[in-house]
Amino acid sequence: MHGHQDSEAAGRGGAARAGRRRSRERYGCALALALCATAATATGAPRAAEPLSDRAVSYQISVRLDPGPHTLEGEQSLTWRNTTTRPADELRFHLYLNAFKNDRTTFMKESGGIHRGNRMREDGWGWIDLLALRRPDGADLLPAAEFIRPDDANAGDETVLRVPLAEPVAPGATIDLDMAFSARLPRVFARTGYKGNYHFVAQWFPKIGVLEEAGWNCHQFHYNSEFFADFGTYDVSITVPSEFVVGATGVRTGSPRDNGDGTSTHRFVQEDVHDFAWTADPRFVREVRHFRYEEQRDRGEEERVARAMGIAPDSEELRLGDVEVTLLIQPEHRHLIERHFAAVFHAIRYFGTWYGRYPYPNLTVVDPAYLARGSGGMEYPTLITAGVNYFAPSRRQSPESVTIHEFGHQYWYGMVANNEFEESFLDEGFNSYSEGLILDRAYGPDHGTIDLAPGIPWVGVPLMDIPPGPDPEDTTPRHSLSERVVDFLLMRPFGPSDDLTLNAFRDLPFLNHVGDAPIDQVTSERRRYLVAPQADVLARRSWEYATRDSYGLNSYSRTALMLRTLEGVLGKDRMTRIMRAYYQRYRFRHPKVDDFIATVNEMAGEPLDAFFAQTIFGSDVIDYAVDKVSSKLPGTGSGIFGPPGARREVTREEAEVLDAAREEDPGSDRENEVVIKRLGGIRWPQTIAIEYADAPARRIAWDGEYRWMRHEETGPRIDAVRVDPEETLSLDVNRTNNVRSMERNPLAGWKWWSRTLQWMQHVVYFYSGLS
Amino acid sequence: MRATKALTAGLTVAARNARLLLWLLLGNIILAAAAVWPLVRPFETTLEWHPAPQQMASRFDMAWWVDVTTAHAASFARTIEMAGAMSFLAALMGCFFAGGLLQAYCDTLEGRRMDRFMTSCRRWAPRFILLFALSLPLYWLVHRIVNTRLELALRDLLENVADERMGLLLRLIKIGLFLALFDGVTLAADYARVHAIVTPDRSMPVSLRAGIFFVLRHPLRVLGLEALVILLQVAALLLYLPVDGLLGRTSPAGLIAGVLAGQVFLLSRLYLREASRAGQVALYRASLPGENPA
Repeated sequence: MHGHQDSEAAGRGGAARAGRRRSRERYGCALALALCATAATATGAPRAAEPLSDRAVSYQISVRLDPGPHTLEGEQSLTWRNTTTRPADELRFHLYLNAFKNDRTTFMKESGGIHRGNRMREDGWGWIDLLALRRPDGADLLPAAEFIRPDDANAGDETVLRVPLAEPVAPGATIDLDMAFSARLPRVFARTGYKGNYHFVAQWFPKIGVLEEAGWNCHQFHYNSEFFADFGTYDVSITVPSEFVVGATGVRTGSPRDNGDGTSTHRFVQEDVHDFAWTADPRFVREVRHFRYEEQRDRGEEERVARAMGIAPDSEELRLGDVEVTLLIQPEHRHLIERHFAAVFHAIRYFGTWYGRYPYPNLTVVDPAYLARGSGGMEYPTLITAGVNYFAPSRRQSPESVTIHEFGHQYWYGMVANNEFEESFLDEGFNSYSEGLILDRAYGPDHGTIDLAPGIPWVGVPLMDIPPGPDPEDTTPRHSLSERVVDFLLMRPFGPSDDLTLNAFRDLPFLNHVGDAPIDQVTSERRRYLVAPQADVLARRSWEYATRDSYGLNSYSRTALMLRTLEGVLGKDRMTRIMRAYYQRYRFRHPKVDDFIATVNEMAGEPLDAFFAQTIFGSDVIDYAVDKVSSKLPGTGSGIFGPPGARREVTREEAEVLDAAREEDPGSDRENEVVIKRLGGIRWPQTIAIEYADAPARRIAWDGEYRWMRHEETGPRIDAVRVDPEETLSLDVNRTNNVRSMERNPLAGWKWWSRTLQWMQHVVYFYSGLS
Repeated sequence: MRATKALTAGLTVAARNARLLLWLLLGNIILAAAAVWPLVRPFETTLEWHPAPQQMASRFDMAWWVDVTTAHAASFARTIEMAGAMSFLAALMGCFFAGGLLQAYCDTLEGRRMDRFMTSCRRWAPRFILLFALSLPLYWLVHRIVNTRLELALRDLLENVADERMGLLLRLIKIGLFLALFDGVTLAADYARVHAIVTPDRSMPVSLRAGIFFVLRHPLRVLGLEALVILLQVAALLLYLPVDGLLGRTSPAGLIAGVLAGQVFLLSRLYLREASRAGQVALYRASLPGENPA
């Protein structure tokens, strides 16, 4: 209630200020930028019946894009409420665009100018300047403002601005601020920026940090981190050249206003979000579809969820809302329009059915421009960026995978708004887990694989994904002499070992093709996880992981596998209840990992702290192996047997004959021995399945604590032994040792070795031909 | 002499010296097996006690592959290093055998009985190793021109390209250019070796220069012969692929048959390459003043 009244008060104050026109004398600009005319209620823009979140902020922003120099000129009115119990004697702002100002910033030093494989262009710097920061009474706060570096004391970093206040903001009170800023977008390589006329504008305005009870949570912009902000309302007016097609967070309000100077102003409003991004490109093709619940629902899955929840299948809880989906797609990707929409609709359906209805009426999906994929694969409230190639075979699940993943962030990040700086795994890993489930359900468990381990290009790279070859801008010192020799001999100076150019020429990869090599979602995550499963503890602040790879595998894959493992342990229905409860409980809030663990313990009905202590707060691995299996007939024995008066002698030869005869008798009981070893550090109860030649399989349980266990029995001949037979432990780092048969058969091993040999023979053929 | 005639002559000459291919195949198998030998144990360990060997043999299992490459990462790393080393030895092996092979083709074209093969190999090996070393800067130059200078220029150009299809086309052109120049250097080195065998010149720098000039002076014939051989190689591949698919290698007999079929295919590639070499000798000899085409 309190929050609601304050929000309304902020809205009324905003309406008063918004009525004033501000001139742009400083820039000699003939036209004055108009502030947002009125608050949302006065113009009739859509407004939620009741706030969904504790709206701590209210932004009204007017911004003008000049596409020539790629600059923004903006004015911003901000109302911020102190939601803590302590007075706030300062404010802190994120000025994210300053991360691209020069090579001394924390982001640039940590990234080396490369982000997700995209390299920054030398002339592509960006920045943001705060030009004015005043209270409505005219008090100028800018002179006292200073850049601070709370994470690394890097004097070259200007992404966090501290603003001391002469009068602290009391708990529950608000402060109004009028701000003006100027910015230049970088050439896009890390989420935000431009390429040609394509502009994707993210993290572009002075964004206030989050004040928590312990103080300001306002980190510098790191290479391995994303974002964190309070929920609130956004009312943004965007002025761009009239031919530009615009998409943004929120609902478009009214028609674009023609300013008569070749520009148009587009207005978007959204409540209960914690960020605002937008895009403009004259080449966008705009397509709109509507997700209509009654047409798109999956009744079977609704029934399953209803059973899991113990509610009626037609319960209102399971009902989803209709959503208007706008796709802004590059013209050359028109043939992929329906695939984008299909993926989004799957995501809306299943996220909604499993966790809860998507609460917004709209969603925008953006297809980045050619060579602007640095802005792709990202999430913003009610706006996501995907990214796809012209050639997009459906088996590769592009754009499906990225579209579903980025929509999923509307839930994990957008609504369940964890701190992405400090607990990146809570959104990335949770989302990877959910994405995998949707891909399984909507597209089947397998998708196509293209390349295998680097250096052994069995399958090669498809034509549609031609990499650019070696990076001539890479000035990293090369390796030792021996490594450089190997690099040369493997033609790496002419291209990375997975470069189509030389591999096709050299290896004839399609010659050695393994045919259809499908890969399921779990294996896909394991590929990444197993690169360095013990590099870090999973729960770590994002910029503190050892490497970018470690950040990725821990935040995404390891967390997804951890959740899959938890699902395997608890069962699908319990997991559904847990995830739904977690979402319902923490949406529009800022949960931490302890909140999730508490939810699990409560909903699972059993404490799982030991599981999380090892998987989230430890860096050990799970690895249980079948070490030994034997199934022998107890020997007849040779020597003297029987009591006095009934003695008989059995010679060794006679014993062997008798044993051989019994070997043929399948009914003979055997002395069976099974040894299971714990090779990893994580201890977890195990199920061992023993399969018999002529009897039903049996299962035995082991607590998994000690380093090994031995099971002995007398019974039928063993065929095979499996540990974790249902493969519930997705985190197991080596599943090849989870099963062992009594029969040795070298066929498969020799087959794949002969394939490898054949590949190498063609490599040798190539090099012998150079001379 | 036209390319087709050179190819015909090459096929005939290579067929007459077919037994020499066995040396090449033997050397190929030894080097390749040495490179991938470290993988025998990982494959055995992870597959020989599997309860479904037939299934694991018939279908490539990505889950298995992910686990075996990570659980036995050291073995795979060793294989990659061995692949590098064996590739280098393969180049040296090529230098060793080239002299004997070219001498054999030359002798056959002239109607002479072939000199002792290994003697010729040993005699020419040091010079051809030198020639190989002299050709490396040319490969490096091609790489620098295309993959560095041209690539940087292309990146600047692509800043003004909005349509991905145009970008793809430009990249394909760049890749095609790289392949053509790379192959061009290889052809120049090929004809340099032929020059050394066919003429009294024993200087490798002179031979290399002669090879470059020959390619530049007779581009249609040179490329025509090369293109015909490539077409034949593609035809051999198209014939082999369905056979390989049918054999499957999912039974002991199928495995043996599959391996043998693979060797037959490799042998066919070796034969076609040697036919190309023999054709190059015929082509070069025909271009010399006073020579009659074979």
